[in-house]
Amino acid sequence: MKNNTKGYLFLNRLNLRRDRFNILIWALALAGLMAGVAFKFEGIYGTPQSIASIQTTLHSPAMKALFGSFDTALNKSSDVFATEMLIFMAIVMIAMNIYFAVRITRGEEDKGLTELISAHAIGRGANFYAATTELILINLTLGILYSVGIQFSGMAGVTAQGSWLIGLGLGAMGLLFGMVGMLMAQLFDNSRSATIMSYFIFGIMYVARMYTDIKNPDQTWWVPLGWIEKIDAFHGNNWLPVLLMVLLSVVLWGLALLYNRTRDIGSGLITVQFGKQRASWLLRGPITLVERLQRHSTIIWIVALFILGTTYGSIFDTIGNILKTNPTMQQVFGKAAVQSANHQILLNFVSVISVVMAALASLPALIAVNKLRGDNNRGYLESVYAKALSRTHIFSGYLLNSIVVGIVSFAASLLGLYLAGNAVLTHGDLSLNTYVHTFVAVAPTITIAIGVAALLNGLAPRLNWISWVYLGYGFFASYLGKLIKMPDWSTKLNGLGWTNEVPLHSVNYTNVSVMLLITLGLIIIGAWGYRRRDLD
Amino acid sequence: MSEEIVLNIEKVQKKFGKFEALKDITFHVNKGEVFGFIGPNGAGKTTTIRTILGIIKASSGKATVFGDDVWKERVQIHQRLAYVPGDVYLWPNLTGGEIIDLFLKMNGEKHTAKTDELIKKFDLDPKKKARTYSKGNRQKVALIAAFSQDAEFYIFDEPTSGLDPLMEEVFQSEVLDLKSRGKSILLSSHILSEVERMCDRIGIIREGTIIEQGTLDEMRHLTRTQFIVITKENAQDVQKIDGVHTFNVDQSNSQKVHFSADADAIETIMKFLTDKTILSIQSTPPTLEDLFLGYYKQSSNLTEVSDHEK
Ligand SMILES: Nc1ncnc2c1ncn2[C@@H]1O[C@H](COP(=O)(O)OP(=O)(O)OP(=O)(O)O)[C@@H](O)[C@H]1O
Ligand SMILES: [Mg+2]
Repeated sequence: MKNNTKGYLFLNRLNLRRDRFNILIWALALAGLMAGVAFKFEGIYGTPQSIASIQTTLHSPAMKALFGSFDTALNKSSDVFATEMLIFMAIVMIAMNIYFAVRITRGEEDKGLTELISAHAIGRGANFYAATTELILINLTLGILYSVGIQFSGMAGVTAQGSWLIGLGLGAMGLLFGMVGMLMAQLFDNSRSATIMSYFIFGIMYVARMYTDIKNPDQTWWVPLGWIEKIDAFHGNNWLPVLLMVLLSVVLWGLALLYNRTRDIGSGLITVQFGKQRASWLLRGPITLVERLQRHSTIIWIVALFILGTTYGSIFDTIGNILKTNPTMQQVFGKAAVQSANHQILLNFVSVISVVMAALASLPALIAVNKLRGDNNRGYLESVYAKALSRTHIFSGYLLNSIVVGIVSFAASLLGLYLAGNAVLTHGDLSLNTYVHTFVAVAPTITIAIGVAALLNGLAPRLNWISWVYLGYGFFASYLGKLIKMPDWSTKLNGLGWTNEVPLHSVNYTNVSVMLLITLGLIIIGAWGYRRRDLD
Repeated sequence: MSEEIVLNIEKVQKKFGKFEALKDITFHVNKGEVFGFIGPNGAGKTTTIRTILGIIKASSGKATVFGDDVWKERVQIHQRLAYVPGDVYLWPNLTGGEIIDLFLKMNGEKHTAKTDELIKKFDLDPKKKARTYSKGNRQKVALIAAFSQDAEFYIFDEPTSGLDPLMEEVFQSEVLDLKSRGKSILLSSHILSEVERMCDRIGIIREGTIIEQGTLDEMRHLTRTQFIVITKENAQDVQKIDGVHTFNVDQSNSQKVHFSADADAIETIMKFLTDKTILSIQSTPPTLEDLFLGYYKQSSNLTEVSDHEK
């Protein structure tokens, strides 16, 4: 054991030093986001009227799908905060943890650094323990920052215990997914698969909790991601969910450790060693090459988004039934009015959900374009650069695959929505045309994100992380924008703010054309830059 | 004449920000010759090669391959060129066989019987995923693809750094085969015996400058041969001949002298020694190692080099 952990402290310091800027940026961004929203909340929801105005919205199934389902009566601004912010913040924490967990374990191994370190007098387990410690530190720090931020936010109804419950609860949720990431990093032999699988597990939990939240919130206890909804901060202050998260983290960590001990460095439990002796007819140039490299992840994304769509669709009967929230409506307004109101609710739901799904579909699209830099830095492209291929051709290999995975997985999510939605609706089906319009209005937001990434990778690849900021901002603005009453102009800083809420409203073809033109412009500038610069 | 010169580089400079990686690169590779490109780590070999391939753009100077500008006409040039990078990294999920085929197709070529033969010669298992390959095996993949390509100009950047001696041998015989078929080759290497065996001409680069180029014999000429001679009569006056250096007399035998001599003084020296009746003579030509180590080490006295050139 002693030998196993030799060098642990040294590695720990080394890793923290290496990641200090990354950690600092994430911590500042997340704590700032949380505190910023908390400080704003008293202004938005300081009066009973302002809370009442959003109450019905929040209790609608569409909002439950996004934000979770809560029993807490909404009386003060802190009540709105302690319920509606949890799922969103959990998502952000999870994204951060998967990023760090995979990066500091499998990512380092991919680069061969672990091997270098292992060759020195450092115990076999030291690297694993150092990674664990780093994750605990990151989550603990953020948890504390959140707690303090909430406590001093000035929201009415805030208590110390409730603040720490939210802060540490989010920290524990982060840690839980950090452990998921570490486990996946042991199972798979490359960081890309480990990341995808971690997100896949997150996706399943997200969809499962959405389903139970709408159908029967008690069953959300079965979904670890849903535990965060059960803390009842500022009221019951239930620490059991936090305890559960920590316990499950320990279990996952133990499993990861077990695999870590039994495998060789650089390998995974799931490894394919052999393949074809000759290239297939299809594998013949940059476009088919990138297609081949990303085929598995492309299929996973398309299937995952289709499933997400069908899950959203399968709750249409619950959502599109206004009588559940407003039983007297039929007596007052008559059947036709009720049906038209139901229809409006569904259209609204589709308009909200499609934007979220577009943001999700942009993820694999950005990954694909940004791989141009990743593959270059890993040295994979060095030989390709000396082939009789124009740079435009190489560039378009990544770009086309990005556009396809982005657009097709978005279309798949709408298809899922269409099929499942109409399957559960007894009357008042949404026509295929509704979805086609939604597609036309929303898909250009994906291509703009791709365009931003193409521009950056072409001109200044070192800055390609800005494409993630662009998408992250769009996701934030479309997920929380309404809840935290972001000003109109600020949501319009991102393509996702220009969809004109189709299908609730009709397609704004001017917006669509402008977005497509912007996309084209960004891509052209990116390709122009790529042809002129040094490839290093 | 321009048809005979495959690669021509004139006064190429490359700056990375403020750092001048290449200061003055001037050399050419003739058709049908193997040009050895040597120099210490960080001298700028890879940077020069990446400039030739149009991967990076020279800050100033002129570089042409087949008479075409390496930056502007890179796609046409690459059509007739094969390249093996120094560090070969391959997509972990593809097999060696797939990558070889892909590389060939990217240049409009096909997997041929020659490819199969090379796979056998280099003893590569093409069914294995690249992630399982060692450094040497990854290099083999790039080499097999390059050798089975029907190019006119081959560029190898330290191609044997990961190969075992047996494979190095295969590499050398393949290069000599290319040469016999009139192909031109630029070979950057740290393995001097390899350079010595294969290269017609050599360029030495240090700190971004080509400090010497020419045939091996020309270069040998620039260094001194070591002599140990025993004569019947006293031959100590040999030290008065121009071109004799580091002269000393053996401590135990005053008839035995040690000295080094410039190449152009050897004739005079031999005449002189013959008169003194040579009993035994031992001459050691400069090893390439000596030659290059001499160059590598010189730091600021570049003037000495240009003296040699005169
Ligand atoms: N993209 C770059 N940016 C900044 N500096 C660079 C870049 N590429 C190379 N250099 C620097 O240029 C110098 C020459 O590097 P180069 O790789 O050409 O050397 P080399 O002769 O190939 O060395 P080796 O024998 O180790 O392969 C080095 O000091 C290196 O650090
Ligand atoms: Mg080099």
